[in-house]
Amino acid sequence: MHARIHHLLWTAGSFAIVFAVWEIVVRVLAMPQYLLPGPGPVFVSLARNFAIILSQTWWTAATVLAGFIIAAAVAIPLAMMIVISPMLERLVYPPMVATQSIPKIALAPLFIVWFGFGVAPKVAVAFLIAFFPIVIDTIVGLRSIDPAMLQLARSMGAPPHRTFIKMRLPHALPAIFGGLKVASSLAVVGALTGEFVGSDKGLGYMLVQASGNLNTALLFATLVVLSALAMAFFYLIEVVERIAIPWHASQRAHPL
Amino acid sequence: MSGRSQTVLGTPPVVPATKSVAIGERAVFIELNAVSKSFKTRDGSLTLAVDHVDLDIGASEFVSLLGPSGCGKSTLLAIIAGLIQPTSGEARIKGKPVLAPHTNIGIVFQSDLLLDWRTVLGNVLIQFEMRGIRTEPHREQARALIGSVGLGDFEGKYPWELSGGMRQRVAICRALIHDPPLLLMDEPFGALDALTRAQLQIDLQNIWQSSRKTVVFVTHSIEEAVFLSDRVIVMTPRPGRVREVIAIDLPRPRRLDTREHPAFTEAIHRVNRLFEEMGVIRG
Repeated sequence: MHARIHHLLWTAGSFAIVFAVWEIVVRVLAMPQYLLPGPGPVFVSLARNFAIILSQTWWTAATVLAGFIIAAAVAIPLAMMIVISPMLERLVYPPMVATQSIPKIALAPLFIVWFGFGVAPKVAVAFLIAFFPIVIDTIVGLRSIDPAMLQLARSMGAPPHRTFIKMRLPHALPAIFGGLKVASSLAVVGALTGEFVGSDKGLGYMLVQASGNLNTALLFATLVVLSALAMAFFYLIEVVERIAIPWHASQRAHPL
Repeated sequence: MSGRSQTVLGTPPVVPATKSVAIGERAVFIELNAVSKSFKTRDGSLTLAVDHVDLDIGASEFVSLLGPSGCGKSTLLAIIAGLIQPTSGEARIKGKPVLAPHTNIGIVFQSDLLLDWRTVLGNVLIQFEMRGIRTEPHREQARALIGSVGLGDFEGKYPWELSGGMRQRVAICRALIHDPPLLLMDEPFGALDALTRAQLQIDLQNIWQSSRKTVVFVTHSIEEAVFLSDRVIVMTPRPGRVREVIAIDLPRPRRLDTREHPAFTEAIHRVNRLFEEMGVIRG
């Protein structure tokens, strides 16, 4: 408990330093507000526009969550099948890697053509960009099992599906969570990109609007909320991870 | 095949001594008949790992395969387990050819291979779960076994809460819980410190004496092989052949002071001389 309070104090302290430096820079350089507002005006803008920012945040959050969940739901089973079947790997892996070389952001305008101006093209970009790290990390996790472990399983007469469920899959969980965490940040990037390209809703739309009006304080306020949203997603996954794999080295508070 | 030719070091011709050394009154449990195994290397050529090994191992016998790294002793163990098939020759257990992974065995590897997400008890019971057997009826038996190796207070602990020696004890429990007649051990104590290792050797011997399982023990420690075994199979460097079979005539149970016994030091000398002749150790 003491350690947790200690940790919180440090976090609060580091943020305090960031805000202090920000304020000092604005004052010393006498920045005009349309270029770089100080922390004060930003929080005033945040408070004044709180209701509208919040409603736009829900919209973006739903988009991110939808893209992320679809990505995980497709990527994890696909990675499992790729590891189980060498034939499927040869069939699916090369085109998958090839499509990943296309910058996903460049596909956003295409998705608008295909899916219109609704939520679908945003979810599609979020999905595409979050998908790849989950596939790759799941494959790496499933493959990284000690070959001797598989020999041991065979000497126990275990059928392949049981070896997979009892040994391979739990062993891969830390890597899968690694992929999910990377994907959670990327899903936010994907959803925002979709909103930039064509939308009348969401935090991405607010950013474009604020920028167009030279309302830099609102722009910063939106950025603060956006980073809070991305952090919330990240920590949500960390919480699930802590519950799912308390045994992993990364989760142990006090190694013996 | 050049693997059959004399080594460049000019060792004397290999005497096929194996089968001539009696295994006592014991019934034959494992037979290796002219077992050879070659592997394809990265550049596509074939490497002979094991070359015409003939060996009989008796029921309840403790036999060590002793040789330098890469001599094919682990390969031989995997062939006995049915995990790999020999290129030529055959392995038999109780007269039956081993054509698939043999499941009525316990295996212990150098790495303990414990599952990090399971407790000590869960790691022992996995032996049943992997076989599709309900673990509930075996819980008490597993607890007793864990207690018998001195881990009674640790059955609810996770592997990362245990020392290396404790972890390997759990691995041994996992290999014994289904009471297999055959225990295969591939350098099980190789990663342990000397003191832990000496303790585990004595413990293993005691387990063996009370259960009378057949044990095939792979090691590159001369001392360990002599201390534990009824017979030590000394193998040549790659390609692995049986160089000599040495019967260890030391009273049981063997204890720490067994290492001071004249027969112990004499056996060590003999193995050392063999390794010197083969150019494995240069004096």
